[in-house]
Amino acid sequence: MSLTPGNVIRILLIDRHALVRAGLRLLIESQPGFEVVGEASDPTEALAIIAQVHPDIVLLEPGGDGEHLEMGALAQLASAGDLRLILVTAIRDPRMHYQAIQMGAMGVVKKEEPPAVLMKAIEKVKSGEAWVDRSTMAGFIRELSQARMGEALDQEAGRIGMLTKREREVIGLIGQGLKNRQIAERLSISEVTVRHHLTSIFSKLAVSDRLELMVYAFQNKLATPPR
Amino acid sequence: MQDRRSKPRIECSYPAIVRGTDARGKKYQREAIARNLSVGGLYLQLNQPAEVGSQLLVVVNLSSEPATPAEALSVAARGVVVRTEVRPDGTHGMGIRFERYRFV
Repeated sequence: MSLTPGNVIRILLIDRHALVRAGLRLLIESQPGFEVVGEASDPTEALAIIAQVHPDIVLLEPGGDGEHLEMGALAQLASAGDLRLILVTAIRDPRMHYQAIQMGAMGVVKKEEPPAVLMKAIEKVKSGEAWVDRSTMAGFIRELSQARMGEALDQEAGRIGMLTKREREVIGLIGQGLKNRQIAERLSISEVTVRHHLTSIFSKLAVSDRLELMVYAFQNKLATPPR
Repeated sequence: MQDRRSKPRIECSYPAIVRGTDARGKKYQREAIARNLSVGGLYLQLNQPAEVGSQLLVVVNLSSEPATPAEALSVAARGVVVRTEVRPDGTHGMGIRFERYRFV
């Protein structure tokens, strides 16, 4: 990366320890294309500097008790607007990283990583990408998947909730493999009425025919398949 | 292994009749049991195999109560054998993809 003003990545450091900030500054400024434009020991001080220097990237050591991240600093910075924030932390728990990303961080780098990882993370986040390890990414995917499954279950519950008592009876008899005439006899109604019920059921459950209805009914415990 | 079947399916145990033509061009009819079923196809258990790619007519009796053929609700499907296997009990398993089906 060449050192033209347009593509130098401008970084703000936030860490309560002056020695740590100094070490990070030395590391970052030893790399071409990176510049530390400010340092702060807490988020309040950082926000004042951010307003003046508009850094491309904010590196934050959020603190914590060794197991949990201190999210207050992150929340304070995230509320300030569109910051590209990377957490630098000794905490390994991917659930903490996941929580930080949910709160607005765009990257998490563990302190045990080699310096090259931090520099790569800075470049990626500057270009608009996120930087998380595989465990954190797995958490995202798991949550997304569970959310979609929950939506699907809610949708099915909504559809089933629209069925009348009589329609549920018809579905139960469909599950037993009865023809319309047999259903009509069992329920003491006409075959025409059975067909009307089926039309309504197909529409409510978004199924297109009797076989699809049977499969739906067995899957959603509206009928019991023979064993 | 990734499950490539996208249609919801149910585990079941419906009696079925399979009609097809063997490699020598001879027509046959066999009894089978439908072990799972979806709108896209079914899995059959039977005593003799059929070739992958062969076309079959399958009639599945969906009635859970004993019924005469005229009373029983059945689905008649034309389909293609997409996989076969020998089951642990020595019978043959066959996956069939429906081309079309109707109720009889």
